[in-house]
Amino acid sequence: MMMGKILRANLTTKQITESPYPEELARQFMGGAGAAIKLLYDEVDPRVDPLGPENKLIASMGFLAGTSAPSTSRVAFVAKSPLSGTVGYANSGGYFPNELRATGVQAIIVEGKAEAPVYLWIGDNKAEIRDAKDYWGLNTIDTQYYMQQSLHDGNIRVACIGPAGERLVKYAAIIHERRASGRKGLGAVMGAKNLKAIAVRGSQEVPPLADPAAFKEAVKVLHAAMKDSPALYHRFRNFGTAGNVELTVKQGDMPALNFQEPADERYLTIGAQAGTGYRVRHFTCDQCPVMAAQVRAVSSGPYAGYTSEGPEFESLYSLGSDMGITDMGACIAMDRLCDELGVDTVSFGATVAMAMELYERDILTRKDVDGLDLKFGNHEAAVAVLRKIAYREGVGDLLAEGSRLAALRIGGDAPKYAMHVKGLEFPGYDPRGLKAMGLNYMTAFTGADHSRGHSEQEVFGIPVPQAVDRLAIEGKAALTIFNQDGGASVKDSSMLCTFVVRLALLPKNLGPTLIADLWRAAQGYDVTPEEVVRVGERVTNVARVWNLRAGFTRADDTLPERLLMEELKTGASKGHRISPADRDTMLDEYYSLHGWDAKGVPTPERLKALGLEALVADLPRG
Amino acid sequence: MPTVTVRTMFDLAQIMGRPTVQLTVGAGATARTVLEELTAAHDGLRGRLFDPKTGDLLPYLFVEMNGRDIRALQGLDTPVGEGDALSVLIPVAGGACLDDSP
Repeated sequence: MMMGKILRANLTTKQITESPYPEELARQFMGGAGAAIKLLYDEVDPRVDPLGPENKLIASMGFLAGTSAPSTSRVAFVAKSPLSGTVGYANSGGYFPNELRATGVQAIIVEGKAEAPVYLWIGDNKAEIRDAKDYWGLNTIDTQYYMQQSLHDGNIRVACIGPAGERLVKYAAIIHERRASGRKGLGAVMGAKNLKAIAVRGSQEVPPLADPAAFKEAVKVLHAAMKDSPALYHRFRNFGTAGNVELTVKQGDMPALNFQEPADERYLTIGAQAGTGYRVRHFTCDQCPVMAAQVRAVSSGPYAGYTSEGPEFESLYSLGSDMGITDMGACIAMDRLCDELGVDTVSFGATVAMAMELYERDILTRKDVDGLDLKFGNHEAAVAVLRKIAYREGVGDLLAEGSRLAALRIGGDAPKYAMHVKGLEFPGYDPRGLKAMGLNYMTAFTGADHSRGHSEQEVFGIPVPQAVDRLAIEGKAALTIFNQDGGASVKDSSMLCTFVVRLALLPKNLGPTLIADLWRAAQGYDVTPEEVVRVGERVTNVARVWNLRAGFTRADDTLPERLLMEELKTGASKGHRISPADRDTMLDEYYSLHGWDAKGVPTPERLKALGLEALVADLPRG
Repeated sequence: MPTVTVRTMFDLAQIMGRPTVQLTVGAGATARTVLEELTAAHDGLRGRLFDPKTGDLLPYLFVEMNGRDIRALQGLDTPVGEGDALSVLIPVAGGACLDDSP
């Protein structure tokens, strides 16, 4: 057993305790997000107030963190999401995860609520809850800097919240370095606990591996697969995820103007090739040879002086095309400001895009939006609204609630224009031209989340398990399960970087096999590739039952009216939508293939087959 | 004589001079015919599209006709008609199928 310990910090009682990593948790859920979601299931009542002291914030790393396996310095943050009310999960790379692992900790559980602002300090064999009043109110960049300075150690790594998290903005992010665990509002969970930051510094090696020689061999296979990829060290390093702009514009699947139309070639001004003109350097996460992060700087115009490690593709959609903005400088500036203020770029842009449409439709008046001319394309107004949201001032207080709740409060027809599933705003792929992506959005346990079951086959043309017609609904249930369950284990529980999985392993269908080899060599478990996939299926089922207990039903597995009823009018996906009948067909097949009933409830037989007998008693009755 | 639209990106668009071109092809044309005509008209394009040994599309490219991956249709033999749109796509942040992949 080479997993580190679990550290539990109760902010109400000010007690910190440690416990060994449960063998059954490691064996059934591998680690990372999978284990964290099981801990959430076991410890948090799904009906609690996500911003109350009963919610818990779990930070969890995979078994590969701190080992010689590249691209594995990643941490999963899990809690009940204040934005959606579902399982909330976001992850990030950078340096914080490996530093935390070097303290000997594998996972942290933060519970309760501090009376006044605190931060959690974790060092070698030492953890403390410390006063954070000197840091409260600082943005995320300054919080990290001054904490390092005050503690006289520039190598301390700090995961923290900014003003948005302190003010419980429903899509507040957790930031460390310039990396964001951005989505689902987990920064607000920290804010609600008066937890400003988690600061870590460690020097410990990971415990001995079960079979170091076999592990070294598996790492060699991983490096070879990465080297074999014709894109990973070439186009991906040079362009980063921004390369998706050019691709999805061609496919007609990059949303613009709050999903009223697909982005066309006018938006190539925020694409990868345009971005190279702003790039000043590459950056990387700890122990990652790819160096795909693009540091971009604006040197002229109204946003001169802004520098950002990004924007990534999803942010180019949300800060750009979804708000009708074609100015790369504005996107870079907003990307930077979102990170400083601790705001999720995706939910921010999507929520403001909705407000822009409501403004253009006269559902919101100029007075309602504090006198701003909040029309599509007005990036000055978008920047002004961003600050208002982070500090909950004026209209920002309304939009800080996210698109679903803000639209309900506005009333009238407004909810028709809120683009979300289960309260989580959409990322940058319009599902009308990507049917499996649509089914993933409907069924992902976190809401409209591309990261749960990204349809790589549809977007990138990867013919694994087979080439697909992205505009057809046939076969998409099985494909979505392949992507969701495979992803939940191969990347989300091992915590191997999604881009390494996507670019190096998936094209060779190597993911489950390689993770099984690494897992076996690290932990000594006699596991097969099939068992790796089963871990993902367990995670999917645990999260599903937890969400059902929270009150979600089949009726929540749907898409906004616009995507069900309005066909795309232009672009390569013109004429397509996911009709209510298409939705129902795909859902029926998806539930059936999962071994769930027609209401989307896992059957006792399926849960037992997965070794989840204990969940049967929790299933909703009737 | 059907007219088709071809959309490309990155270095392919640079070689062709623009990201979208209209092309008139003969009756019975296929995706391969369209791409062959393009390579004949633009120096340097052939090596960016086809494997010189096998004549197949380079493994990291994928081609959609009217939004559909041609590998889910009839591959390069997919018939092309009036008004069809062919997109030659280069994935950056995902994909890149390899020669020995299934």
